[in-house]
Amino acid sequence: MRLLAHNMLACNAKGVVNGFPLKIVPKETREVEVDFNAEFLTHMLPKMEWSAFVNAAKEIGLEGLPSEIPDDAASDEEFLRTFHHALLEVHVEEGTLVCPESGRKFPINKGIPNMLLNEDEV
Amino acid sequence: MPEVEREHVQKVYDIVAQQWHGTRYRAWTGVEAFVRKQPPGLLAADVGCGNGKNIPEIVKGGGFALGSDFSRGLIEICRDSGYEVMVADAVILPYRSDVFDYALNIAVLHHISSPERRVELVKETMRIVKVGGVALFYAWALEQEQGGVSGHQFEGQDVLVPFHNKIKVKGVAPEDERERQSRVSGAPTHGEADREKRSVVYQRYCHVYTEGELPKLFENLPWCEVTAAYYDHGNWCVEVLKTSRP
Repeated sequence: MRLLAHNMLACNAKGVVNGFPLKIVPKETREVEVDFNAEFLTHMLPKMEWSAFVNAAKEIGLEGLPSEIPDDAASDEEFLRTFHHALLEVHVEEGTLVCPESGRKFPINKGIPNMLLNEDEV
Repeated sequence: MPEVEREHVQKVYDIVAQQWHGTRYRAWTGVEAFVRKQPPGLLAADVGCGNGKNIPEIVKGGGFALGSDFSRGLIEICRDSGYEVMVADAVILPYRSDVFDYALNIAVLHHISSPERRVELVKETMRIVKVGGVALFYAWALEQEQGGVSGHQFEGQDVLVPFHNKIKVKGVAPEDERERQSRVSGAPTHGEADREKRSVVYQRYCHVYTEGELPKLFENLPWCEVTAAYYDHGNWCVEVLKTSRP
């Protein structure tokens, strides 16, 4: 699971009003290089819940992201490269996602989050 | 989740995942055509992505796909292909609302066993799409062409469709293989040995759709507009635009 996925993920279990953002408790991460695509990154920026993203990056040991998106983000290559790395190049292989409201834990095993809910949670 | 979907869909896909993957390596041409119509570089959700056969087409133009499926067996195949995926139920998606530029929901609806859950499923896919975004739905049709690609003729709308999980190892008796597979954790309990075809046969639950049944799922969703409805290679298909938030 990469941070792009994490920024879209929410806990939608029964009774949960705001299941976003899920806290990441990482056990193992891995980096894999991805081609830099400024156009895609610029397209993604308005979709991001930015403070959740910055916080998630810290949870997996990534520093250096600004607390707010710079005004000239699209032309700020240094910023885009930092964003690119955190968004797409770091995989949480093993760990846990925790719902901020209910505390419900979702395991990540071999890179795959298991978001299935039990019968009494739907 | 109803027991029929667990035993006759989820567990079947888990146990047959490898063989399923071996014979399904590219997106259907109609699905490809829909993806190619989208501007490049978008964020897409592939709901019920199976072995990920639609994802290469989505990422081709610099786009990104988040895939989900309730079969871990299929999702592990996606992961091995390097796709960004998770195990999740299409009826309750674990995503924020209004974020994806478009969504695919291909061959998922025909595994949902009640009319209420079919509406829930289409609502969930439309919920995660942004306002102004589109989704493509494909579901198996009752009306099949004679000698068509799928080779199926259906007796009714709610059917069990056999899948032959072929035995690849020589000298193993189908009965013994059935017994072995039944002991796999989370395996279906209904597998049957087929001596002649040397396979273990599993039954997939399907609800096959009649003409007009897919658009009808959206009739009480005024925030969704069916922009196209058509038949393609044994499936009924709809393209749906999200015009506002629910």
